[in-house]
Amino acid sequence: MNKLKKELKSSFKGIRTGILEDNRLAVSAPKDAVLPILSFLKNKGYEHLSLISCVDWIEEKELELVYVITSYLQKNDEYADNERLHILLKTRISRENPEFKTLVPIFKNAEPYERELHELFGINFEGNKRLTPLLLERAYKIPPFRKDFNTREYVKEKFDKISFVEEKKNERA
Amino acid sequence: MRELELYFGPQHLGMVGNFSITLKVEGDQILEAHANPGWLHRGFEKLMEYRTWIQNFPLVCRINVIEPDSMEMVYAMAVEKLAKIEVPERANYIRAIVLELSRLASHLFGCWAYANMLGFDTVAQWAMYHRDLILDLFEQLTGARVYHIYICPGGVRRDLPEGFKEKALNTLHTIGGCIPDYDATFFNNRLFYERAKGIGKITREEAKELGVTGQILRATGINFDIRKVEPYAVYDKVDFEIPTREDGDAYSRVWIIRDEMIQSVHTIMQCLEKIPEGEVYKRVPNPFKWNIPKGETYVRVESSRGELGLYMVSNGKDKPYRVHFRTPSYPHGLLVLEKLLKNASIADVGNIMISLYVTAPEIDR
Amino acid sequence: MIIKVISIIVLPLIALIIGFFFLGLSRKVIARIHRRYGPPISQPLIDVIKLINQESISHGKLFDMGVILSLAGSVILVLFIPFGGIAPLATSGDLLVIIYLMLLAPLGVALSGGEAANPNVSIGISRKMMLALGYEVPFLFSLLAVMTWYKTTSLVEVVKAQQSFLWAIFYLPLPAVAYFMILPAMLGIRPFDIVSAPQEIASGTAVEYGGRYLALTTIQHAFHIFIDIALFVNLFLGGGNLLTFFVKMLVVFLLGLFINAVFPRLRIDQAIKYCWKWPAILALVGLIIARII
Repeated sequence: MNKLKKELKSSFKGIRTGILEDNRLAVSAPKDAVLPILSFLKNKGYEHLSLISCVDWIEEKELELVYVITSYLQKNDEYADNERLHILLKTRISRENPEFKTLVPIFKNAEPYERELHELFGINFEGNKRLTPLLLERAYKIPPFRKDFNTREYVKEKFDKISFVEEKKNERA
Repeated sequence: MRELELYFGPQHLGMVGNFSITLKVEGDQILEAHANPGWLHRGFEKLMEYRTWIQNFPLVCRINVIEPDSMEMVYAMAVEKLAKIEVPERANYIRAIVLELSRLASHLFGCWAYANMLGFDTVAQWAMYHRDLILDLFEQLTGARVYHIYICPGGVRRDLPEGFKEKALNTLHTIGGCIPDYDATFFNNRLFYERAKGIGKITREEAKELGVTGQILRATGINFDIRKVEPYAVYDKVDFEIPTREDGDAYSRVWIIRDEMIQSVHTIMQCLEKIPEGEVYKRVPNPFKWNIPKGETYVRVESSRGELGLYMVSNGKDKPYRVHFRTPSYPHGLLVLEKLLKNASIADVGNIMISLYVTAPEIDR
Repeated sequence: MIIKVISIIVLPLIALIIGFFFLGLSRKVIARIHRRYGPPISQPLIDVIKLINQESISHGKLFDMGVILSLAGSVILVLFIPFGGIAPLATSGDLLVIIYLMLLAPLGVALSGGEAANPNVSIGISRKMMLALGYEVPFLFSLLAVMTWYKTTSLVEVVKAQQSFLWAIFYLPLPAVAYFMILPAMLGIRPFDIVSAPQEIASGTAVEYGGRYLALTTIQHAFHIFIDIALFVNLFLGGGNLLTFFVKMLVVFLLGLFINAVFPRLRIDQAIKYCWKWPAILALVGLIIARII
């Protein structure tokens, strides 16, 4: 893990690394360095993109994208130490104008995760051709998974306005 | 021939769960498939940000109907990691027993779904009956049949009840004794071979590229199982094998499910033998004032369908700041399914979908 | 004359009762193989009575007529098939008439399904036509073998000839086996329930039927079961009086059910390949043997 940490530090500028417990390497990188780091890691054998997540740091007015990278087995029946390593690559983008480049050319399975983040956090992934609605059925003013979206208020606003439908009797459709 | 648009689900007899696929078909061939989730989106990850750590504990299991225990496990593991709680040894054994039992139940459910989809009602009903026997065990152990709310941060909720071991062994012997019946009627059935061989084939490279885990990856010959790679609970102390196959088609996926069931039975028996005496629950601080130190973590377990991960961020308050589940069906149900359905025949839609073990509640969360 | 009129009225009723009995029995037997208790044997009848009282949606004239056409085709067919010696409309060439009339039922379903314009229905119809194409070949071969052997095209004559001496299954084992092998395909049960295939095309042709239409198709299905099995008993098992005929039908049906219980569904291409392979070859060989001897 330390070797990889050094390699990362020497190849890319402006990144901060920290070691979380149990084989977890946290890397914070500036925006432009993310895609090069990811392709660098992929070439190193960390070719399993587990998850793309997003955290809304509302007080700092930033969204944090988190890429969790691990590796598949290289050889059967043998578990090298680096195969247990999780890399949490993080980068921050502005909250007002959330734009980022897509990861699809490097990791194909980034597509549904980016679709989800586009829908739930309103992040626009440049170059992803399929940012179509995925989970939600209607449009929201504020993307619903951001911290300033209050579910209780939304429910009050949206559903309390719907009037009750009175049952019609003696009428068959 | 005319091009038709066909809706496969959510109102469809071949659909297991609230999921929908829009198919563009020409004759019997599928030109294009679009997976269409979202019928069951409950926003659990958002809801969990509104609830305290302990209030979330009965909530997480409800994400997945088929195998709720791995959900509880992954949540408990994340909380323990952030709060630095050590789990007692006996609790770890009980966790392994519960997880394997639920894997068994989930695989039997998978057998039901697959056999039912092929129109093989007999085997489907047998599998459902055996799953019910396991639910009986769960009822005795946890008081609930489906959502157990059992594996909590700090251990498990209560100790094994009296006579549980005997009953569990009895049930396992019943199920293990029926495996020849299953083999004779289903797994060695010529028509099952005809229907499943070569269907939904995925190569090793494609599987790696699409982020595939679980038995779909193991069916392509990669011996990747988180229980071995990164052992949790007591998986480093028990002896079990990871069944793999080479072909990567529906046939090998279903066979892996069958082999894993046998391995699960063996694992549970070993755990029941080896289980030490002692505490099952490490007291956590007053749950209503429980603040967990700042931090973030990503933990993963091997659920019955693949890698189940949880990314969790705490900002030092009494509620999680962000939780994000990485569910196995998410890449399987969206990317792999769309890829495999292309140019398949309509008769094989359910065949491919269920051999991938796509569970809708996991995708939607 | 009066006996003829009475038998024309009574025979379809008997056929209907037997058909419904078989439908109910199949659910019970299958349930026991599943280790379930199963519904009462009268359940299909109860369902039909319930369905008749339900509202139903029509998709147009042809939709209504098609259902009636397929039911009418089946009812007429029943009158041509000797049941325990009763065959009110039997003529000297009734085997040929039967071959023609058997096409009416799928034709009616196809007509009415086409009007519904549901993609699942159109797939179901195309599957039904293809499957019919598959099983008609061995079916015709085995009929021809019987006709060649007894040198008659009258079913009544065939039955009479068998009752005087050995059953046809002893002379013509190969065509009998071939007929039995395609019987599940004709009945539309597994491994050949490709046409209805609930998990693939949502019950196919039946998907647009509700209420009375579903009731009529269920009744048609009951007739259909009666016809296919009665034809087998007449052709190869020597007919019989009312009781023995029924017992023979029961045995054949139960054998079919047990096959149904332990096989999954085939794909349509596999089904046609199967039909044109073993049953067709067996029936053809049987036909040639019947011609030579």
